[in-house]
Amino acid sequence: MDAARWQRLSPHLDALLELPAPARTRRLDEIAGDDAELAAELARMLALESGRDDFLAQPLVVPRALREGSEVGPYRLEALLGEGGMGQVWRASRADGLYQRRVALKLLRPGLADRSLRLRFAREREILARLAHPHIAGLLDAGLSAEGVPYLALEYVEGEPITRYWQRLDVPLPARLRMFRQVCEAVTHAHANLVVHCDLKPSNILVTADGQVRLLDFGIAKLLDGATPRDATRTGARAFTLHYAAPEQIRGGPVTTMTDVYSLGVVLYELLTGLKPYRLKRQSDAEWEEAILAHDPVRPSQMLMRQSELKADRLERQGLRRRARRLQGDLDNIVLRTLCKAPEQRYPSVEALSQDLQRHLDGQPVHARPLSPLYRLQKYVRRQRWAIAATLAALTVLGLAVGAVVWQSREAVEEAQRAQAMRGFVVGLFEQAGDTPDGRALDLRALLDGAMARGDRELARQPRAQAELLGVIARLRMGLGDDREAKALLDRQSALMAGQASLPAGLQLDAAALRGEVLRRLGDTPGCIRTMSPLAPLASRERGHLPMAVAEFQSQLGRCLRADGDLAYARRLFEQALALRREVRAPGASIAEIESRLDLAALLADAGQAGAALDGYRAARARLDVEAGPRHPLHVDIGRQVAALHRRLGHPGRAEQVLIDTLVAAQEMHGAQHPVTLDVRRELAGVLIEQSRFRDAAVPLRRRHAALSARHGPMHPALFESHLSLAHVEWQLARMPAATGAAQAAVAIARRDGDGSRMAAAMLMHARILHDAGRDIDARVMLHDARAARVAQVGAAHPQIAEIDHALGEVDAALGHPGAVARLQRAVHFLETGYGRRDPRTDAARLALAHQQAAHGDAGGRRALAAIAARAGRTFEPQPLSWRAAAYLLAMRCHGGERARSLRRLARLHAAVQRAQPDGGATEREIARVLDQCRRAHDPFMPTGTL
Amino acid sequence: MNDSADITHWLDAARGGDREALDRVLAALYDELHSMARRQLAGQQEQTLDATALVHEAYLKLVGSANAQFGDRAHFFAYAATAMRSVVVDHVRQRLAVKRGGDLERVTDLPEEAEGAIRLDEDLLALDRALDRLAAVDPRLAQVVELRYFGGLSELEIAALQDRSERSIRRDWQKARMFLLASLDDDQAA
Repeated sequence: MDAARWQRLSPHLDALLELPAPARTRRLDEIAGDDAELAAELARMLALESGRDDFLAQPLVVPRALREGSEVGPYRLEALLGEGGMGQVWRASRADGLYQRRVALKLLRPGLADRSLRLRFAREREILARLAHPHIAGLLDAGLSAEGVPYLALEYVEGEPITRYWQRLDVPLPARLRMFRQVCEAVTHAHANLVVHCDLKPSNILVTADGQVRLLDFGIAKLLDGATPRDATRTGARAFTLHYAAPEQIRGGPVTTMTDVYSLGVVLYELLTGLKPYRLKRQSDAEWEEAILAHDPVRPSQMLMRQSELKADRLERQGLRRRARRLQGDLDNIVLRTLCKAPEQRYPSVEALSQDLQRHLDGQPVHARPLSPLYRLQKYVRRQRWAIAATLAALTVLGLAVGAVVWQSREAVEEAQRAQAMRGFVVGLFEQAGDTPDGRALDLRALLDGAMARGDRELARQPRAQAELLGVIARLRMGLGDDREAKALLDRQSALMAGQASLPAGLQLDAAALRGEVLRRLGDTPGCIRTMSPLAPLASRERGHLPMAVAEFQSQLGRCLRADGDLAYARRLFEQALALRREVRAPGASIAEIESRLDLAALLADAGQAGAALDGYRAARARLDVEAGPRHPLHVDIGRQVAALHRRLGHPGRAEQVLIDTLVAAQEMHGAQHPVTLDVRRELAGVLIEQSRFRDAAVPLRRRHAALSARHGPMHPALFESHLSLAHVEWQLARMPAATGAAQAAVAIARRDGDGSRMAAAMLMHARILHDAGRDIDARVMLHDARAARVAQVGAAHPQIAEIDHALGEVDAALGHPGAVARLQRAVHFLETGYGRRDPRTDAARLALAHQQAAHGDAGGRRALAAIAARAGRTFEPQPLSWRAAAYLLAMRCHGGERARSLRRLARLHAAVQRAQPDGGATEREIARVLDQCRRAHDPFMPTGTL
Repeated sequence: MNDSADITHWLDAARGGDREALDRVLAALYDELHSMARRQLAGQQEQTLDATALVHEAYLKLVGSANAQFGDRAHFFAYAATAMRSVVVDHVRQRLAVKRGGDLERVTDLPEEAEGAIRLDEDLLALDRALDRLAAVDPRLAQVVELRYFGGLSELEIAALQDRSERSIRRDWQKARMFLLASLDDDQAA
């Protein structure tokens, strides 16, 4: 603002200030017509002034100085306790004598340009309002005095710093640790509410006269989910105390719950030794900073030993040595762990630290080891390892990789802290789970339920934190394969989030991605797409800030789109996700990159580019070996996809090999009960059935069935499909009682669930079994029942009705009822329109129709049979339909001069089918029957049956 | 110091345009206000500088209530406000010097206090500079600010003093704030 500019603006301002608001706007518009720039400047000046009511509003100082006896709100000031950058802290009590309670009154100092101070003050109020804990000095009241001075009334705590208390009373070690654990409880409560203290030190941890611990002064505490105004520290003045500060605080980096762990570690060190962790030559700030950043802390036991050397008195020496020995081992390790320079090497949460101390007090082995974090993993229940590790990895990566922005940006820090907080929780949970014996999957679920209940209680007023927690637990559930339970949790999360404005982008994207994934796993791909699509623009915007979260979102959405058939869009998303993941330099990002490559390879397979897809899979597997070794859950995914590809290409044998290897891996990593393992088993069974190896197929089917039964109970809806598959296989193996039993169980489940489609399918299966066993009358009754019930539900044109008609047609033909051909014709027609011309079910019906037509002398029928029979020569795949067609054709020539030759050819056909179906099978049996009839026809004393 | 009669005499002369008299008045005011301020500040840790009260006190002390006319009073306050501004700014400068150059240890011991208070002081100096700039382009506006902010006079009192309407004082006040805010913004951007 210079003289010339002001001269230009001043007269206009005079005029404008005279005008009321609407006229003023009009005048500005007029000016803008001539000189837009001038108008803009004038508008800016007007806005500047009107927006800053507080500027110079009061004469230079508080109109009345605050003194003892002054009244602020309902309180009367008693004594000045201290001075802060934000204002004064007074001891006060209620002026109206209403309560006797004393408070600590924190006042906001007035000043020239106060906005940031006011914001800080408001934030402190918000922070304190969340925290209600017996060991935290709570917020009692807040308001504005008559002069407009904002105040916070806090619980007044009279006490001494905890370290001094311990020293003064020479408190024994177990009692000290007990008090320390109370502090940990309070800090954990704050962390659970996503508040980090940032300035933990003995003068903020007071002990009252009656020995109660109280945590004070969340003045510079950071909210992990609130708007944190920029804390510009000027002229080198720090907002925290140096001796207890964590390395990342000194460096000015993002502060997390682990920072509090460090500070508590220093307090713990003093608890054990009475001294600070670093020995310095000169007590200057620079030396302290260097020590915290770069020097290793002296082992507590060692520190005491050194002290003992300095004592002249022998008894004192012995005393110190005794204490040093007490600290050796566990306590040393625990403390050193909390003081690790790298936050991720410390205890992941204050709760974990507290629990390790408890373990020590209980005489149990502690978890503190001076080694790498991976070591922890080995303690865990083997089977849950991957479920949890996967979640951990995801959270770690999300936490570490916040992308190409200035790393101190508020959003980046918030996102990192979110993930850190939740990661800490997960690992803490994990460490608890490590104590349970192998194979007890239910314990972990109970643990998760317990954690959820605790979350509900403690975070009742923190919907955002609760939403985070729900997300993490849902993710863990999915890792265990509990998709339905996960969905329920995510539904709750959705409801919570719907009521909140301005949620962190990371949370929104995570929640949507999880939700999409679970919906897809439960078979609802349209639901997945519906849920995720609205957030695609947000994902696009946050690409730079949250590459990993966005990549995950895109991958999940892509998978749903792929399942839904929109391959082009899916491809774009997968490619974008890959690009994002390649940019990130963090552990776990390379695994995510492999996932993206897998997604793309799967698309190639979908598009029919089998060779390229296989190359992609091979490359992915090689990289996975390099990054994570041969034992990683992703190997299972790769195996399944490769096997599916082989199947599609018509190489069931190769698919089988891959699936067997994959099954072994899945078994080892996930356990027999895990849905992934069960899916692999089912796929293996499918491949074996394709090769007509029914006996072999029965094995994985039965094992899968047993696992599902054990988990859910034999009549649970989840077992329907298993019963049905078993019925099919048992039927193929001609084990009729077992087949019937399975079919009946399937029918019962479907009937109980009121599922019309399933019931029809199950009854169809049952009827087929009956037909094969020659019990056509029973079969007929059942089929008529099924038909009637289903028609009432879906109408007569539905393809499932056509399937029933197909079966009815065959049964009628066997019983010699008229109208079989007509029925079969109807069946073929509606199957074609319903399932398509190439569908196996349509083919089977066509065979039946052709057979009956030919049997009635229809030349067209014979031609159709011949066409079907001819297909067998073209592929290596087993072609049961073609064999049957060939058999029927030969059977029709089984008389007169052609008979001998027909018989021979039938015998050869039968032998070939037997080779193809070594376990036997329905087709083999059918052809054996045809052969037998042909043989009997030779003997005039045998009755000739109709064909 | 000097007795009341002298001050009134000098005030008259200053009003009449006597530069030397004006200097004397200001010097006297400055001395008086400065020592009063010091006394007030010596009492507590918190430096609450109650400018209005001080100016009133100074007036009572130097001029006395008996033979003051309204016109004199107004002029007195005008000068007092200027003097007050000098007192405050000087005091703040000194305080800053102590804080900056002083013991680093002390700063780290009481970091919060230093941070907030320094900001307050620096802000005041910035305002002072901006006010000087305003005085260079529009002295009338600068004086309104001085009277209101450092002297504690109300808009009505200022209107009476300058023989203008309250409304025009209000307008001046608004414009002055615009200038100062814009000027301070420019400072920050630089």
